[in-house]
Amino acid sequence: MTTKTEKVEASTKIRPRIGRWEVDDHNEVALLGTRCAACGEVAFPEHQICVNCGSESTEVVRIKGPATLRNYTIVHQLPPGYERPWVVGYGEFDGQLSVLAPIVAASRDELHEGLSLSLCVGVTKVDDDGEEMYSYQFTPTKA
Amino acid sequence: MREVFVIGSGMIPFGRFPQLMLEDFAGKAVSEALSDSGVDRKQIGMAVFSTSNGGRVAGQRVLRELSLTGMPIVNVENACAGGGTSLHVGWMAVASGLHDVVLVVGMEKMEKGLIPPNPGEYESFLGKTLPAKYALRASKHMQRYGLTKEQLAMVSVKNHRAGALNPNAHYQEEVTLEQVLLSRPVAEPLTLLQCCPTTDGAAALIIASAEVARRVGQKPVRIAASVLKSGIYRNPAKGQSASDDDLAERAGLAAYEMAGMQPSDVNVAEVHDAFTIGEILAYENLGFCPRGEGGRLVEEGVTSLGGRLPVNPSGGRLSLGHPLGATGVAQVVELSRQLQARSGARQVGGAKTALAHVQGGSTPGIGTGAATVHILTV
Repeated sequence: MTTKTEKVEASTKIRPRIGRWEVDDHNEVALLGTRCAACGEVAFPEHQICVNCGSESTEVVRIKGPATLRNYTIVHQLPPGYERPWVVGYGEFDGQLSVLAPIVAASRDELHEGLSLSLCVGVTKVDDDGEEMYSYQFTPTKA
Repeated sequence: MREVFVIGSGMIPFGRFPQLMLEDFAGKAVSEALSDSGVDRKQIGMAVFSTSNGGRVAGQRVLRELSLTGMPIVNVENACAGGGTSLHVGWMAVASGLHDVVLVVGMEKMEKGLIPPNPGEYESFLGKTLPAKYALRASKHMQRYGLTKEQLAMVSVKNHRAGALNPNAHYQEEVTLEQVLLSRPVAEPLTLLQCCPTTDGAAALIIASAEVARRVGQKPVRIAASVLKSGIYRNPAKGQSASDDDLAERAGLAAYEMAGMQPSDVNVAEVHDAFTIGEILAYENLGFCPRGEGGRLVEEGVTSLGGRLPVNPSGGRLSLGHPLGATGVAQVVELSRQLQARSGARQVGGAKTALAHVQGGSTPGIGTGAATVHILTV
């Protein structure tokens, strides 16, 4: 099992704290979130203090797809380093939480509310110094 | 708590001033507000400034040019809600009895193009630019309530029509529905003419106690409510309203309660239309219409000049422009002059009660950092 964040943590650059993820031996991606022991709220990225009730008793949980596309936008104006146009949207995991992520390898025609999305990992941005920056992404679930 | 009044207002024509610093132009708004109020400059007990890009002790740098220092000067940063926040801070100082006369100034010089995100704003790294944030809110509203692209675009047409009547507006030209819809896409469904331009500007207010207000020339405008709130965590996946809407709703409810008023009491409003969808959602969050009917409100002309509840008679952020820290103050300059019947061609006839709303500061997890709502009456 590898986590992309290990590499990130070794760098001295200030990184966007987009949250951690894991890729298993079958190439399945899981987001690392937290579940509150007091109120049950699931949060991503991880929060040591529950975002909902303020309890300090949280534990790491693995959030796996598929997610359901709720809403999205096709973004045309972006800072340097992104492919254009670039699609971002909210995927909802089982009525528990929604996560914002880029949506890749999706045609304009198939983007609609209710679309099943799988998690994947890919290059989201090429940084000013040419470094490829990875993140979790959504892609339409293959049948 | 004492009653607080707006007794003077000033602003410079908004625009792009690439050769100028804040020190060069913000003082003009201060001087205009001072002479408008009729108070002696020595009476100012405190000054509150708002800017997001202005750097350290921005207020002192501006007032130094006017030889107007020595009193407490507070510099406020609260993104798009900074101007409203500075008025709230000034209001607290007068309402509490600490000061009788306070100067409130909003000012900004903007970078061209997209507003760069804060380093901790991780969603923007994923591609959620500020226009994309609003585009996502628009797409949700379209899915859920059937808001149309045309209704969205009508907000821009309406606000540019008002801005064309405002000599202080950055863009004083009308636009057609077609021009708005066919301008280049920024984040779908939002096109360029549905996004506020990058604008520099400054606006100032003199606010004072009732005792001072009675003695000066301008018809005093009472601040019936001044509310500042911050965003909280909401989980739409569990059926809760989005943090952004929840924030505006809470700020609006608190303001109506403080003023002892209802949304139906409002005759004219300035709301946060940095993007067209922002204005539609503000109608609903502030109770101007039921949830889901914001598109119809603009389509039926209710919020146009001449309608039952004109919104953004200044031209709004879309046409007046949106110098972040200046915006909340400029809204109250517009509305206090509306209530004093000094607004010329864009005067809202017989307006007695006005509402100003700003919100901003995209913050993952809590939606928006800050919102203010002010209610003014004569």
